[in-house]
Amino acid sequence: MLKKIILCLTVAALVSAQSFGQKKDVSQMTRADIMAMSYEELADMPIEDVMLLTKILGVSLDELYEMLLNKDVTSASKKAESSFESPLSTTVLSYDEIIASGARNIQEALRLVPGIIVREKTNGNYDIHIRGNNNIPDDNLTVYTENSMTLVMINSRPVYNSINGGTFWESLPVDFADIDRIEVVRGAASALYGANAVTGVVNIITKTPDSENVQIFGHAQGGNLGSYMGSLSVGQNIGKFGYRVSGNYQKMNRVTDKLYVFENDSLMDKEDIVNPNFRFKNPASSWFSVWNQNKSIEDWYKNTETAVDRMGANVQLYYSLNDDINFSLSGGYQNSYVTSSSFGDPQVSLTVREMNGTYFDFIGKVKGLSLQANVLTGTQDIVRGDEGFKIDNTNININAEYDFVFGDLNIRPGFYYQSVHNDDKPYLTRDSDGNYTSGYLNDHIRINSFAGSLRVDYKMLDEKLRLIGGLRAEKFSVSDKVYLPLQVVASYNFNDKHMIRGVISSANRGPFTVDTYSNYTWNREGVRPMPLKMHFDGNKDQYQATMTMMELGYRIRPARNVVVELEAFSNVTRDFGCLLPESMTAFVHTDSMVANVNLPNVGTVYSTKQPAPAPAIPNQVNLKYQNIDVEARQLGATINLEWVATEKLIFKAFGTFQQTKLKDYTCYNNSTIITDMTTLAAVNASQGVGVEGLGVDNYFVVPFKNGVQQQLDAGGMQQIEAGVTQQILIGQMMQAGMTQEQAVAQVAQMVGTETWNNVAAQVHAMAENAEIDAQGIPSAIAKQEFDAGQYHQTLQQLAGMGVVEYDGRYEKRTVTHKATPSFFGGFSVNYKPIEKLSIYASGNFYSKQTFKTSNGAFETDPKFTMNCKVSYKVWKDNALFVNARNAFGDKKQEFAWTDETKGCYLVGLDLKF
Amino acid sequence: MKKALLTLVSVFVLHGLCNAQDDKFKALFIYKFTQYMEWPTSKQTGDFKIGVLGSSPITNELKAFTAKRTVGQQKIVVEEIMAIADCPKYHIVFVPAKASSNVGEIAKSVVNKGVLVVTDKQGMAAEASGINFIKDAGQQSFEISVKHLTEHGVKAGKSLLSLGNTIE
Repeated sequence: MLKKIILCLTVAALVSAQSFGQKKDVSQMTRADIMAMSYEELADMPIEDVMLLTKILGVSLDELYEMLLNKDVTSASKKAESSFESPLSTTVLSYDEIIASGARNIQEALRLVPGIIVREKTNGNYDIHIRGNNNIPDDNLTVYTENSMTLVMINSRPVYNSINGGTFWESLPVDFADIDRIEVVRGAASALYGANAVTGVVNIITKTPDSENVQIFGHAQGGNLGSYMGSLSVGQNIGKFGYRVSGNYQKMNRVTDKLYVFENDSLMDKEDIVNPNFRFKNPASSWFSVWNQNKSIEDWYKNTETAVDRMGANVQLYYSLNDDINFSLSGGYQNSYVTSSSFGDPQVSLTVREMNGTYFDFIGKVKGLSLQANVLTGTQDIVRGDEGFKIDNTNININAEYDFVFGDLNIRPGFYYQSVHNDDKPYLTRDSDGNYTSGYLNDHIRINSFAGSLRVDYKMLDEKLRLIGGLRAEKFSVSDKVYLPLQVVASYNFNDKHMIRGVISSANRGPFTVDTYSNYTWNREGVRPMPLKMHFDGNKDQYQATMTMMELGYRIRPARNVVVELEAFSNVTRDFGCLLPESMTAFVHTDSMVANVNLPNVGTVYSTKQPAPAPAIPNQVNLKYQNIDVEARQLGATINLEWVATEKLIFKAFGTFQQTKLKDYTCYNNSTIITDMTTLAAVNASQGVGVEGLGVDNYFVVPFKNGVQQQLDAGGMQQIEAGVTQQILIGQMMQAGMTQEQAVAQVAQMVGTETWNNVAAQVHAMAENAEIDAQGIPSAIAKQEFDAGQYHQTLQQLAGMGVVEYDGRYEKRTVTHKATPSFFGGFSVNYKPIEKLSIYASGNFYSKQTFKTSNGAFETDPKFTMNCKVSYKVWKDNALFVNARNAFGDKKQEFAWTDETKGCYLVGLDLKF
Repeated sequence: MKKALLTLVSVFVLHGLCNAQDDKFKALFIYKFTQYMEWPTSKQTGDFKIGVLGSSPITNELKAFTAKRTVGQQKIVVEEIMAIADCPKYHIVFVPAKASSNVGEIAKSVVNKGVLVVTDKQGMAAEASGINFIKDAGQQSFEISVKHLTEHGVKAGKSLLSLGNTIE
């Protein structure tokens, strides 16, 4: 009995001691200990200890769900709302997720966003499109693959390239240490944000200090491919004032120092490229240079290894009287150098862009009034080394909006002013007459725009039903046209778990300086095949590309830790524009005995026999920015799943299926048009008005000596002679029994040999005779204007007569657009087995695509890219990490004629105080 | 496949348990408030009534905490409030975040009635409630409006005021 009593007393004492120990050591308890506590134990604790427990618990799971699955977003309605209630297709990428993912820069971080296609061009440089509509028009300059229909902003300040359209991502002055979140709106949103929000909006929101303590965010990493990068920001609130200063730097190398040369269809060493004696694979190309021989390789590239070399610095000052009255003033500078796909039309696929810019941005809020005024001024050299591409730019934006709130009714009128200035004169050399002629603009260009908007947002039925109507009227100074993008939205929130929404909206692109005011003459003599000159003209009267979109969305939250979102979209985009030939002049000889420049744009010159289209040599082609008939009709759907399985395991997956049909598509490009113009000019010259549809006004004869000889000077004649020489030799060898392939290869080796020189001398003699004989080459100048519809009829007639072959390229048809992958998506898994350790794995996939530019078609194979970052918090929130981008080192090119990709492996640290 | 299903089910079960744990802590705070507040004499007899506006998982958590417990001599009763007009009869009215749009009306109905109105949405203490749950640097905390407490006829002890964020 005594033993039992002693035993009971001992057990009671131990239990009591353990209980006492728990109370005494609340600060030492783990989250698991707290979770395991009973109601009785918790209820008996003093409230001070309960509060201490909440500190140990940190962020509650409820809050974790809200933070991860229902983030606040402002870009969808220009005011804060939960993303679950957002009336548009929106995604918020938080700072924490960006850092956890290991993305190296903002562009790469966008791989975490549903509906965005991110393709790497060179290491750290990306092509980014929302939902697609890329590479339209195709068969044209590579510059038209740039995305000029997505509005990218920093704190609602537009940062797109006002000269060509599109976004130079490397020129953004901010980096991760600055960013609070990135908000992405998919779909047409010009009614809310103005021009260029056609396929969507990317709004980068920077941090605002929220503590009287100094807050420091820093990130640094380095690895292979010459990669080292870092960003640091320091901020603090001091009473009602606050400040934040930041800086960032990034350097990454390409995976090779060679450059892809189109004519050679291969990567070439830069020394070979500048060697004037280098033999191209195609002998017909051997007589022109990759680029202007007056420039050295160093003029074009500081070096050919660097992919990205950029820096930025920012200062932000804040004053917050209260929630209703607050102001911020930001300023910063950036400088960047990247090697990426060229905005010009050189024989290499990659050229260098250099940017610098300084900005100031004022944002003020006084009650319902929101004011924003900003200016960006800097210099863009979008093809380093090529005169004419370096332009000073200044962009000014002033906006004012007011939020009227009448219960559940919100009315938001707004007024907007923008002034864009571009000037290339400071970087041009004057001609002998003292005029500027070597630039794209040769002038100081100004484009102003005024806009007014009204947005009405009404909630009814206990705030479950929401109706939104938005309309904007925008007038650009380039023409009398007024653009009226609109937005109509209806959403119904059944409860916290189900939300449906529908959107009808339209959005337009804005006029860019090059599209509107180009005045550029490209003298190709001795550099490129015919024509000798090409002149580019802007067009103030063209319509800007406009999208009309319908979208249906359904968000479901089957459990508090899961959100699934479906969005189905259908859109039609029309009034695409591009540079197309408008008219040309051609030299035509009427007896066609000697030479026929039948493939002028690729420089093939060969002799021909009668009957034939009369030989013609294109002299000058005038190109003009024009609207094209093609309509892009896209139908697609995106599904997005976010699942916070536990506080240690977060899973995301998303994918977009889409199909784009091009209606009224015609299969011609600048080269085919110039060829056809040349052919028809010759037909016109030889047959007068014999072909229906070609007016006599298009044809006139000039005396040979006075007209042609002056223009067909040494460079042009030498090109013709070299081409004819090749063809004569090839013909002789084929007569001797060689195959064409063998003959071409043989001739390619013959330049400079005795045989070559003899034949070349004969050709030269023919040309000399032609100079004397008004009946030789050429004897007339014909002027030809381009009209696709008329060309279709004319070429059909000529084909019927057996004069030409015609494949119906001017006939409108409907085709499937293959440049946008039919499926693209990604996933991420963030696993935190212990509080200090984070493993973030992410992957991206896209299906096959075919790009088409004037350089041909490029097949991009399906690709899956895997990334992983493992970080360990060594002290508080400060972590060391290892990071693998393209972890499996998949080499497949992601963008046409740009670099292969490689794995990039880095180590670094994340700081957070 | 079976393993995958089992894992899936386990995760959902675990998730459900964690949710309950979150509600548990909010309920715990509400229960602890009863020990740091002073109600008018007229409400110091009978049952101590805690009402939750509409359906909420917190109701069951509150019942679990308060079972067999008292406030002084008063037995604690937890009920779901079906109509705003009933609010004045309670000692504590908890308004879940999803029902926050009713706070103004509730506040008017409990003026000088000896009711602590507890809310769970940013800005509610400034608007109408006596105590509002907030997250302070990611941690569960609460803000107290002395003005609204006074208007509603209840008084907070100094120790509670020292723990929460007091707003004017």
